[in-house]
Amino acid sequence: MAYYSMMLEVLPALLAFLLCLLLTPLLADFMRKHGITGLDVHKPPPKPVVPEMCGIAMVISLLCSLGLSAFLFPQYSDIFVAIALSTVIVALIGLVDDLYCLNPIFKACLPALGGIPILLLSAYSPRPYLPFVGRARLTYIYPFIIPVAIAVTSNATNMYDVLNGSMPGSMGITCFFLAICSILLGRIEGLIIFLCLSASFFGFYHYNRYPASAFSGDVGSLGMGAAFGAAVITTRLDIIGVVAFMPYIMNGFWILTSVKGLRERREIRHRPVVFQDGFLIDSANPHAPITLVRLLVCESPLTESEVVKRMMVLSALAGLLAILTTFLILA
Amino acid sequence: MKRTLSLFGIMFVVWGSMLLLLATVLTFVARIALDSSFAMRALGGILKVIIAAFLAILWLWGWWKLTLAYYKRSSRLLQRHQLS
Repeated sequence: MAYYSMMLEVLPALLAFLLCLLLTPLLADFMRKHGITGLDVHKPPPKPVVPEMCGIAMVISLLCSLGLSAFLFPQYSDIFVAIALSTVIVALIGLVDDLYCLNPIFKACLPALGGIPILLLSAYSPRPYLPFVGRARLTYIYPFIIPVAIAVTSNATNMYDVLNGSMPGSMGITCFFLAICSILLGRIEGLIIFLCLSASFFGFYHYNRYPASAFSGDVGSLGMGAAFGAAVITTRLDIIGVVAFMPYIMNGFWILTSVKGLRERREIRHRPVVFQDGFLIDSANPHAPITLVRLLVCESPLTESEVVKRMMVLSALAGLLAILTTFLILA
Repeated sequence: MKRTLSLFGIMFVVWGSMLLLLATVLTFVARIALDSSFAMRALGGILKVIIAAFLAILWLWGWWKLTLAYYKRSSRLLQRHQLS
């Protein structure tokens, strides 16, 4: 019986993984045919042209797996619906940004709209569990935190998507660790959702890893970042989710602090790292933003895949801290 | 690997201080009670927000300074390495 139940919990994740593996090359062909491509700047000339917006595959895979989860576990269907709606809203914002390039302030603020389905469906609990404190009561503040949290997770995920495989690889690891935390806390809904998210990310990582044959685009990074934020809120893994997400928050905080405000990627003229002889090197430009990648290469140059490997290790270490936080909560 | 661990060190400090900050704010600051009258309760609420915001800004400032110190130290090491 336990084996059968475990199979049911893993089934949606399996669907997400296979669907993402199948859809990404189809989407990549479509985008290439329609000229929706981008240059892979961290490669030697001639810079390869890679299809953009293939992150749609991750979003579709996640939505299908959430649909299957709602069918298999109808008692959690409000949570699955809230996450799916949040993801769709923010993915559409990403799609518009990919096609028409939004103003940086709009791009940063609009993903907050992804919090509306969670608020309307009341798929949250305003009493988060915190280490040392126990159950906090944030009845008035919590509803205001939700849209901010969705905007933060989607934009921070987007800011992490800078090298081949950096975003899907690291996010896949983060979600996997949160699935473990859900098991420790006995939250089946969290296990299902984070396994689905992790599977979608790893399915896409297969095509996005070095050398990338598909780029996620803002539709994928913003949409999946919102899905992550919505999952953390609805499964009540609030503080644990924040800890697991720390490398992304740190990267976003460093960029925003060093460029002194919200800037569109194309607006930042001074690059933090430069590509030279197959290595990523710190540009040593005082006007360039301080990013996680820059901090990783500031002592000595590294290849792109080495940097991505280190970013994934950092995500795993943050995941371990999240497990430690779970134990502190349980204590 | 040393660099990854150094960055993990920053992350660890940020994690520990964040938990301490949350515990402080929710255990001590949130329990500031001035008086039962409406005006004093409102004043207490404003005071709580100001103290919490001040602590949060102090925490972010410390975090940023720690990162800058790490970056400057690492860049100096790179320059020394290039010169030698």
